[in-house]
Amino acid sequence: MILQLTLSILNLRRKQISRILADLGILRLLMLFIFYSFFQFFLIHIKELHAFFVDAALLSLLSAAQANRKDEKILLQLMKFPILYYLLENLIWVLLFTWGIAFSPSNYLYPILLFLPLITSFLPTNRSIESQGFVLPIPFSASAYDWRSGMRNGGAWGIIVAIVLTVIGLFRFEFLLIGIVVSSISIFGFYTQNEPRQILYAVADTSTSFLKKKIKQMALLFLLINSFALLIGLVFYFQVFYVVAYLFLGSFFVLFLMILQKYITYEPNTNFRANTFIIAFYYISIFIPFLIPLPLIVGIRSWKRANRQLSYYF
Amino acid sequence: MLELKNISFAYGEKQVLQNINISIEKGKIIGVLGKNGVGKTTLFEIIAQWKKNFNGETLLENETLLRAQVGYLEAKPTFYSMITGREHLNVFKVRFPDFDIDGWNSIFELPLDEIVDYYSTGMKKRLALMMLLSADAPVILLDEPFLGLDVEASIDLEKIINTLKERGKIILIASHTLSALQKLSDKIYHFSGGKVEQTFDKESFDELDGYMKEYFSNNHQDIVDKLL
Repeated sequence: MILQLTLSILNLRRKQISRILADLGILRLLMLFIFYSFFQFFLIHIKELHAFFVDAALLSLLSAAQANRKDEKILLQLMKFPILYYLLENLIWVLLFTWGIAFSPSNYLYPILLFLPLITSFLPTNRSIESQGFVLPIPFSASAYDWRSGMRNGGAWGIIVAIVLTVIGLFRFEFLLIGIVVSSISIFGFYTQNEPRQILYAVADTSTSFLKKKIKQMALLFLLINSFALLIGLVFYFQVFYVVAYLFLGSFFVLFLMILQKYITYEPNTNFRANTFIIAFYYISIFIPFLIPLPLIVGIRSWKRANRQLSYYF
Repeated sequence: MLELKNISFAYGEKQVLQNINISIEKGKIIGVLGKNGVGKTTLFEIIAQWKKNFNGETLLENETLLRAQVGYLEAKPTFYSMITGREHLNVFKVRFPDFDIDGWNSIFELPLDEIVDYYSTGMKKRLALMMLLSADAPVILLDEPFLGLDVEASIDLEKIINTLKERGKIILIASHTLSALQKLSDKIYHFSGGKVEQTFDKESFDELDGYMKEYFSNNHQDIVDKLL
């Protein structure tokens, strides 16, 4: 591996390296790094154990930066020397968490935070899966194209952050809950593209069966990602498991509403722009008792409207 | 045989198609010619059953044509981003299990394990065509299939269209590329004002160039004057 890496570096010209660095959005990541470092330094300085909350938030921020690099074309070039690419990408993670391990008052958790993002780097991104030596398991129908596209569009990072948070949830209950919320936010991102008509017709015969399939696939995906969190909740936090279960069901319902919102405004070959304010409002509503009926009523109405909109095309 | 009987369609007050009557036999290619906005795409969307509120009948072997019996290649085909060609085709294979992806790809020669976003325009057209063949639809509609293709890609596409013809498909091509239409079609319909203005059989294709020149100078003299 080291030999391959050395050869890759030797094969590069200086101009190429600087272009790659620029295209990787390295400055953006550097800014985040400085921002992160400042917080880390501050939190270590005041010996604040809750540094983990901030770490988790910043971890998400970094992942969001990774997810929004929009460098698909660059990736195509970079695949000629993928190891260098992964090194650049992971250098930032490694630096951040080495610092954390060295100076944090609660450094025993950092190896987990370091290890899992490293693994994620070897997940397929935008290129064919075979070239990475990894094959994505297909837990459901081949017609579930949203999650493949979403994962390659950076969603994999969000999911991994959610899993990391779930692992930390073994030690601290709050992280288990944050993990579920992060996973649902990541899945939101999978449903941004309105499919072409041909795909619509290939998936189902009627608007109702199309919507049912979409919801079913989303439910499977959400359950699959959060099964570990549910298991941890059941085994380690049995007495407060109802909180985990409620959050899980509530998040699922908000995702359900989001998918319906997408198809209420469906138009072939366009992109869906979710109204994040409304989605956030639904999310908050499920935790405020007197507001709970609101998303339920909206859900019924949205189902009818989405069905009506889709039936125009069926 | 595909029969279009008295097809008329209007967008509100604007009549786009008026009493279109066309019959096409199996294994024949029909060319549809006409300036932009003349109703070619609308006609194709009617045949593909994408439009519901039209007047007239679309029949295949004397029975109402169904959406599943038509494969429609749009002028600018679009795809789901960040999934591979094979993953696109797999969506169709779930629905149509007999769809032989690798068998068809021996004709289309696409890098199916590449992400579609990286395909060239020609490759995207070929993939879209392959997708619509999944249902083994007897009727194929090609709207501007040569748009944006270089010479080599156009020749490849012509070969594929001829292969489909040999397999007995009924093919309709709407195109502004007169030479390609002359090469491929058995009959060419010239549309004007929402109607069939003129029909050309293979034997009368030689007259087509002269007819189009005359038609253009008669109907668009203002443009000619401006250009001159």
